[in-house]
Amino acid sequence: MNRSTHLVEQEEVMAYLDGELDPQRAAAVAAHIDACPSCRALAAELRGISQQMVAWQVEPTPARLSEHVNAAIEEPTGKEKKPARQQTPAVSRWHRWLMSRWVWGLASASVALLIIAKMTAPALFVVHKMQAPSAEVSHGTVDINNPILKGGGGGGGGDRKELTAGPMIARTASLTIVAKDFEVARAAVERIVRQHKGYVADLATNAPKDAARTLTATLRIPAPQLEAAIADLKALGRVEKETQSGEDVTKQYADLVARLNNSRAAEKRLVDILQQRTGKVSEVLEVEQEIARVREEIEQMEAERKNTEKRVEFASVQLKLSEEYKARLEMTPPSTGTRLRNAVVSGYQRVSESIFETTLFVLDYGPSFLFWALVLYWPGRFAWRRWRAARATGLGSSVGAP
Amino acid sequence: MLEFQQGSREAFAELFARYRQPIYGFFRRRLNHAARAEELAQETFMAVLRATARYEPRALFRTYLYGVALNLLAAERRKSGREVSDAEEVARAADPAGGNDPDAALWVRHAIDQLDAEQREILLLREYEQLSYEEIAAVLQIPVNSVRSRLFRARMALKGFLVPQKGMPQPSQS
Repeated sequence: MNRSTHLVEQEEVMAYLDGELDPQRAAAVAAHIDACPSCRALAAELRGISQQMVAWQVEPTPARLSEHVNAAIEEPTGKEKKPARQQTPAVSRWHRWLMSRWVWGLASASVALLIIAKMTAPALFVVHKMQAPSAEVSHGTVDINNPILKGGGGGGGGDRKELTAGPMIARTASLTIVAKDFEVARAAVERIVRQHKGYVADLATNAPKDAARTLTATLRIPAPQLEAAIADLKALGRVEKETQSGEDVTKQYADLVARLNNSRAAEKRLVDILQQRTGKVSEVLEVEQEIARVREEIEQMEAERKNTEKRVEFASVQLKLSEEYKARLEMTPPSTGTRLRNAVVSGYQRVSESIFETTLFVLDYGPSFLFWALVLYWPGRFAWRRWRAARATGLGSSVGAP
Repeated sequence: MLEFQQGSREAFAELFARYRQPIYGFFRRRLNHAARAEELAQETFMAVLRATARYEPRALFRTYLYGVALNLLAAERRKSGREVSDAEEVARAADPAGGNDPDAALWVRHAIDQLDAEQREILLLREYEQLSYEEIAAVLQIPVNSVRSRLFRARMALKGFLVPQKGMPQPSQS
């Protein structure tokens, strides 16, 4: 279409079809479309696109939506039922999830996986022990009370969770200690952390000039070693504050591992389907999309699992260490050079200050002095002359007297 | 809406009945999960209900409603913080179960998926939500002329994407 000879823009043809032109312009464009083959073709294309787009329809609104909103309308304004909003989606999500066609395949794969896991349990347990060296080294033997070992943590696959049962506790503690010798206590902290196979997550020291030095640190200590490490730390000085707490993450971890297993099984099955079966492009695309979604879920859950295991495996200790403050008496006199230099600086400052003060005085009193000098000049001069004349006359008469 | 503001519950029930399916469709075409679309549709009406007292008839109610829906959608995308792009999200979006020809629906979805986000939003608002250029401009806070030019570009781009490529399976003709 040659735009320079065209009276109607292509966008106007579209706007006409969308009913966006005023009646007068619409009539002009309609007439033009009738007459112009290229604009007629464009109009046909645009209609075709809209018709094709109609193919993408969504399913009717779920009945629950109407029920909840209608219930909220019936409530007095501003008192909508929030619980409905929170409960329904979860129920709905699970319901839909359970009805999904993939879930059946996923469930059967999970069962198979479970059987394999049971059969290979001893081997997995050995691998597990190797992956949790810190817990073993400190005790010399496998500590069956170690929540990491019981919970299946330690960086291995989540499918071992079913093998053992027991609480998984993420422990935290905080200590505030005042030590007599700061340097010794600081070195001792590092030694204690090394001794208990832990590490320092972060550390900051503060040494102000006229106050006590402090050290704040986050120590990560293997959970089984926590009690011993705290006892060692408490020996560093006077304990001002101590707190300990534990969060039971057993259920959270078990749920996570179960979901992870299900998702892995689903992923495997989907990949098998993609490799072994042929079908319509729509089905292939759907499977690919489902695989991408499942993989994203697996990555998220894997990260969450590792984080939980880390929290259980290593207890967190917030340590605040400060020294007993001793004020220091400075007795050293300054050197001769320093004193001479100070005298020169002081002399220079005094000179400049005196110049400045004089200038200030002149500026302050100068104008009023000048004013009175001008005012009193003539009367003073007159009086002076009179006095001199009187004196001269007096002298003359006294000289001329007999 | 003004009637509802004055205490008429039937008025809001009528508004809800009229916009229930369009608002659900709005979220369904833009989000991956049907349940989340349902939640957000519900949340949209709840937000309108909660804000009844503050409602001022400065624009069409429809514009206001889609404005609320778009805000909730933006918040949802921020909150979910997923790494998937909008395009991927649309690609994996609504199950075209409601259509007569699932293949054709899927074909359209993939074509729309290839548009850039801005063009796609304008096109969806025009074709599926049936908003006028002025309403789209108000909802997206852009000039009407921009809506017209971007919509035209979106449709021309979509035309190219809807043409079956050589070697690619074609949608069944309905």
